[in-house]
Amino acid sequence: MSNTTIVPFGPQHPVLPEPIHLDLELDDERVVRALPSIGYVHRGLELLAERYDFIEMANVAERICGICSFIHGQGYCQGVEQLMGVEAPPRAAWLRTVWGEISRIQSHVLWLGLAADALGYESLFQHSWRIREMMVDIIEETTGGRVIFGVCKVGGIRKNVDDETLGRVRQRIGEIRVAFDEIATIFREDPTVRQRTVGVGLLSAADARALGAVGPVLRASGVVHDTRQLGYAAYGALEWEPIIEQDGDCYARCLVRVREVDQSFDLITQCLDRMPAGEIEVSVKGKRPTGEAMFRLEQPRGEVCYYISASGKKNLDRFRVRTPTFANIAPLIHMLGGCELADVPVIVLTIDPCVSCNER
Amino acid sequence: MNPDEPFNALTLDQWVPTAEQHQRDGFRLVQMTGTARADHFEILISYEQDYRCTHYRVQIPRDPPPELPSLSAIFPAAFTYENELKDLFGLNFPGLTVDYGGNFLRTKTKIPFSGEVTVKKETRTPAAKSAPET
Repeated sequence: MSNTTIVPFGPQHPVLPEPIHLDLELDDERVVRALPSIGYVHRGLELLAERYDFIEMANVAERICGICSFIHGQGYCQGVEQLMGVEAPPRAAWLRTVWGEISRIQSHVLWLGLAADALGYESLFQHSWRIREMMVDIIEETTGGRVIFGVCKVGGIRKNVDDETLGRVRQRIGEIRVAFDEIATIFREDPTVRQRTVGVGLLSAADARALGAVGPVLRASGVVHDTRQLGYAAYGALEWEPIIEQDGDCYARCLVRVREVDQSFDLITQCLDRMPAGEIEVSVKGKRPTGEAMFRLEQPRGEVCYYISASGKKNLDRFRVRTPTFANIAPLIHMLGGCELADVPVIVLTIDPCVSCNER
Repeated sequence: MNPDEPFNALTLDQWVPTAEQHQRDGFRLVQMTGTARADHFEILISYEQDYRCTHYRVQIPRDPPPELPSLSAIFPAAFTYENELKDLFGLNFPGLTVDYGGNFLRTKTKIPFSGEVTVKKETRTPAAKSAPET
């Protein structure tokens, strides 16, 4: 007779902001196997490409996720621009990079807060979200909303940011960076954080690669892979290297995100220092996308792929998004095997699951 | 911009040998996706090495019941994609290493994309005539 017990984890769980379900097979307090279920909030957004024209569809792509809405819009627009043989003007490309990195910072700091909360460190959670709020204020000042919607368009961007505003953003980025350094030290050095994360949820470099891990999960296992290295938008002109850690545990995944926040501050500063002047969009009037392309870029959670197929009509033939959370499910299942039940919430959280991306 | 990356057509018997070749050459599996067409299912797979992707497309006839050899023994990452394709399109994957038996995607409609999937245009109803003034 089997001694295993099955404990359901989710779809509603204090550590999960969104619904995902795991059936945990336990031998005493140790997880033998985890069986995932997804699909609770599937919205069928990809199929809407057949209903909305390719210009309107950018608004749908942005609504795949509220945290990285801008990067979803950017990926969609750049994919369509590639099919149309159109290139956004330099100022649009550099502003896209700034908003992309602001999105990365606010996503990572949001995650750091959730991680602190999962570790039982409530004051650190509150300080993390206080800093995130400062980033959201910058988003509001530069785009008009606290979530970035309607800024990216096929052919460029809709909203320019004047140099005076960019100067204020530069000053506030400096202030936020000082505030972030204080909490970054806690994530790096605090014994409470280390005790709950060091050696927990191990993923070797070989396993990470074989199981298709992406983003901070992959880089925390020592694999150098960051899709920004493709050089899209302004990344090819900026000085930076992918952040990696070697240990492959929850602590390493936390450190990668802490260091990436610092790196994003650097990238934003570089962009603001060298922001080109000029137009922010090119006209795409009368042009239609033709052919197929797989456009890839780096979201806060990792590589995202947009497959776009079009045949010169106003509607796309097929639009498909492979999100980083989906790619990180296989590594998550691997990491959960053999762990303690008490560590499950922390391990699940360290892949930074975004269910709304996953259930597009 | 992403580099121009080729989309190549494969026959069903080339599916597994192509995966084995890419595994030997050190590629990683990036994604697998499906599309339901009128008389067949189309599966698109992408492999990547040094930031450069190669994409392959294979067509699976609807009749007999559609199946595709599993790649999960070659690329362990394939099992989640294959479970997703199984739950969405009803494809069978002989040799699937981790089979969730149709319980991976909890969709309200089982195998929602087994038919041809096309959004039906909504018929626009004319705006109601304004009420006569009294």
